[in-house]
Amino acid sequence: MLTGLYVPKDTLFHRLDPRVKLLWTFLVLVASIATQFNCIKGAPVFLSVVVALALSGIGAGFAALLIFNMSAFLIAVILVWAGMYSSHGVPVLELGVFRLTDVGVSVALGKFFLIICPVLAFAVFFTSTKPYHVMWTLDKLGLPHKLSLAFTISLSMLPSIVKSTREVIEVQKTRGLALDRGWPLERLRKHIPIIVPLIARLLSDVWDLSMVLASRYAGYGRRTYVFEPKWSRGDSAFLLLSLLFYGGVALWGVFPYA
Amino acid sequence: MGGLSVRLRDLYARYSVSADWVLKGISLEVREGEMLVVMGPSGCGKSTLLYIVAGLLPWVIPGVVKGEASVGGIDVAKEGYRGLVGRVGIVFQNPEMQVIAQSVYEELAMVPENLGLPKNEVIERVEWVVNALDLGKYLAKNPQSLSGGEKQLLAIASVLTMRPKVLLLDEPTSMLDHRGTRLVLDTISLLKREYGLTIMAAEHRVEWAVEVADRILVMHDGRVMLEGEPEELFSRVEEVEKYGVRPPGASEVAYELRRAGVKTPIPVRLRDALRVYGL
Repeated sequence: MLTGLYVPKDTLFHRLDPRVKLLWTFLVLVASIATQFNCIKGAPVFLSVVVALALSGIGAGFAALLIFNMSAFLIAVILVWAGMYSSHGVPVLELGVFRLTDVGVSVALGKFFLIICPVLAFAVFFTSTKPYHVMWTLDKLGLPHKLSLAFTISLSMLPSIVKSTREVIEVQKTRGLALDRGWPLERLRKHIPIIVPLIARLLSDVWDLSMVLASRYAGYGRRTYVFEPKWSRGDSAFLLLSLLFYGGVALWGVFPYA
Repeated sequence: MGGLSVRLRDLYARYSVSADWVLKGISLEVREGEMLVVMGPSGCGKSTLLYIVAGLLPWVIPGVVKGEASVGGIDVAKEGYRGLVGRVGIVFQNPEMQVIAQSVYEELAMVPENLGLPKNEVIERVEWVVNALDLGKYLAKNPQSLSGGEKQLLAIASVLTMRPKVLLLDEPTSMLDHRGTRLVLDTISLLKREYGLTIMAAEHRVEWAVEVADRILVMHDGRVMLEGEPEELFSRVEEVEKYGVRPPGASEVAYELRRAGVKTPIPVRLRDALRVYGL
């Protein structure tokens, strides 16, 4: 039931120690923050994450979904940030009141990278790390076991939630619910017959799960892990390269003239 | 059979969401190595009874429990499920909700890992249950690809790694097809025969209940109405039916023959019926 986002594969990222992957994710986050006002400086971070995404071997469907959502998000970000910086820099496009400048585009892309790079990095982490090892990593980081457990379970339930949503939608469609017809407000109202049974079903699932977890003594105390990842030379090398790369990019981003 | 394993005395229970008592003065005893099957219509309190013995009510499920409930001398209502480590294991009805891990081995190792046992002991317990229930053929499989019966078998195996003295089964076959039911039934028979586990099961399917039960208890509206060995209990066909339990097919046929004036004993199992009628 708790399949999580994990995609079983044998890739470079799957073989890495989960601690290294998590550190890499944080390095991406730091570099993204440091380069958020300049798209040129943020571009290497974005490219590195796209490469990581390819190397983590996630399914084409999942990648397509991520890219589609990214493009929708990119348009929204450009509209907002480019609008805010419309009085700065050289105009590159003017459509009525809408004015796009080079500074506006740069900041908008930088902000886009700021959000999207950590999201993709975490996607790489979770698709290449078993929920079992996510919990192990959080335990190793010193988080109280109950918190690690709660976090891992909530994350692992995401696919079940998606599956339940699809099933409820299918059931309601067979009863004549047409979500793709009507005005936006009407379409929104049509989601009520989905939300109500979905919440009821999720509550029931969570209730059943909590009984199972309690009866299996989850969160009882300090947990043993039979399958503990071992830190290898490859892990050290990857971490060192990541530190150098993202550290360099972050410095470049922080110091404007670097 | 050995000493006393489970003892309930004048037990009342209700859930926080309702003011009505679900259990109303239940008293019963289960001896070590005995298998007790609790039967009765939906809502009669079968599952509630098991939740109390498992220490889940009122510790995980909000509610009120009054009276005495002990497992192996431990006051369940006072200690809760955490006080029953290694004593009681419970298997629920929905196999889909009970298989959590990403591999069969991880699933089996989950309980001893959660208990923080040393690594070698976790491995030793997993190997024991794999051999005991012949699970070797499932180890390489993804648990999500298993059938309902196989998942339920895995859930039972996972609980057994706790080395419980008492195994509670809450309608373990209600969501399974015939093949899955057979698989679970064979496993329960094995556990009873080879390992002398004390088993309490809530069950609707009378045919399998009479196969494995040492004693059957019929509940109705939160009370114990009838109790006895399968042969004795189901010879009282009318009484059993009065409390919403359908007797086994073999008993029903014999009962109808009796009503038609044929002198016949009332068998409870198909094999007994075949013997009685010389088939």
